Amino acid sequence: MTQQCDRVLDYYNQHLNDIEKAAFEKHLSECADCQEMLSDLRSLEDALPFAAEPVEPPSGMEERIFAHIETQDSSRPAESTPMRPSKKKRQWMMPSVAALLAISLFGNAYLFTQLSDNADIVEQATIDQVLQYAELAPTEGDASGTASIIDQGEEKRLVVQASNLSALSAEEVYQVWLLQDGQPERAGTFVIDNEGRGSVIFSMNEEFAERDWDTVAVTLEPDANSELPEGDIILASEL
Amino acid sequence: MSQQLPDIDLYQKVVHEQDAAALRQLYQKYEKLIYSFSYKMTQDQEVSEEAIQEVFLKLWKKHAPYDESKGKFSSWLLTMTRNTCLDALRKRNRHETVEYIEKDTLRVTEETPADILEWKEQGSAIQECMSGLKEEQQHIVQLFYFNGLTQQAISKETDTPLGTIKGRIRLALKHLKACLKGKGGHEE
Ligand SMILES: [Zn+2]
Repeated sequence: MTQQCDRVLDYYNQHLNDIEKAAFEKHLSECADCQEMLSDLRSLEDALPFAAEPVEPPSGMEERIFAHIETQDSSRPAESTPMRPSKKKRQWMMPSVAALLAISLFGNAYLFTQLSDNADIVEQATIDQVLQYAELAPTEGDASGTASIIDQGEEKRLVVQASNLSALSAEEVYQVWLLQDGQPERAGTFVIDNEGRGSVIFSMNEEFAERDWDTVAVTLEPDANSELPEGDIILASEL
Repeated sequence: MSQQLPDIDLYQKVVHEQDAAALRQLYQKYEKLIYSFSYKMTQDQEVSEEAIQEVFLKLWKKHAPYDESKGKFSSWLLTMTRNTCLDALRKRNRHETVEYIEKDTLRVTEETPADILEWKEQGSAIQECMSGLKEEQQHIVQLFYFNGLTQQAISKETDTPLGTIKGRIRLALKHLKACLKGKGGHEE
């Protein structure tokens, strides 16, 4: 029995993220105990749903469902088709972030006014303790980067470093966002050097530090004043 | 209804001939079963309907290939339904805590469609076996299998130490398995 064995239930109910899932599956291939647990579960899968008490479906459900399916019908090639008219490459890499950012366009402009004092603090910090660390994945091209949230005792800072970024024109900037449940907040703005590298250290105020951020993203914005994401997502990762 | 094709033939018509009527026959055959199952999982009419819509849309758009190596069509459909409901539950739980108490029993009907004979047969076997479990075991199966909770949440809900959850579920499953076998059911 290892610690992985304790994950078998959450694995079965699909609560593990991709990394945890891969680690568990590796364990599973070598652990008779977990294999037995899952095979017990699978052998009951045919029977357990029948334990549901018969419930009358809501009236009109069939019509609603088939009406919906028919509206999807015109786009029915064999391969999968995006249902929303957003950019294909975005959907492929980070569908959730792209969708979340898009949804949030009407979000919460007011918060930014109170946070603007805190944005864009670009200075070197001494690293005390890394609380969270993430490799940022590109939505296209070969940009790369990392994001870490660092505890410095008195305050928390978000450090984002990126390289292989495309050159900016005119007023354009790279903007970092932290997201929680799809709501983006500005978390630093940066431009890049001749080699396409850039970084920013963002000091979190108390309200920021307490929140449970689930995603970090970097977008390319037309200027440094975007209070909500307007441009394409370049890099992103779950936290 | 009496002349209905086997599920696998209907499924083939759906994916190879884009036969909407075949899809509808499958839907009508399993609507009540998968709705009841979804409802037992989500305890929510709207969420159940959305989940079923998603399942049939996936089927129609061939996003969920089925073949007979995956077992019976009905089992496969139920597994797909469960996974879709788990997704919906996960999204919902991110935003709110939900009372996992069996409620709304008013909507339960007595009648089972005659053409789902297997529901009658398997239903009575598994229901008897379930009610043969100790009450706390029934509860834990409900929380784990039907509500799809995390181990952590089950521990909290049942006021049981995290480390003992797995053992209890395992024991309940063993009982169910043995009981079903004893009923001449359904053990592959
Ligand atoms: Zn194990």
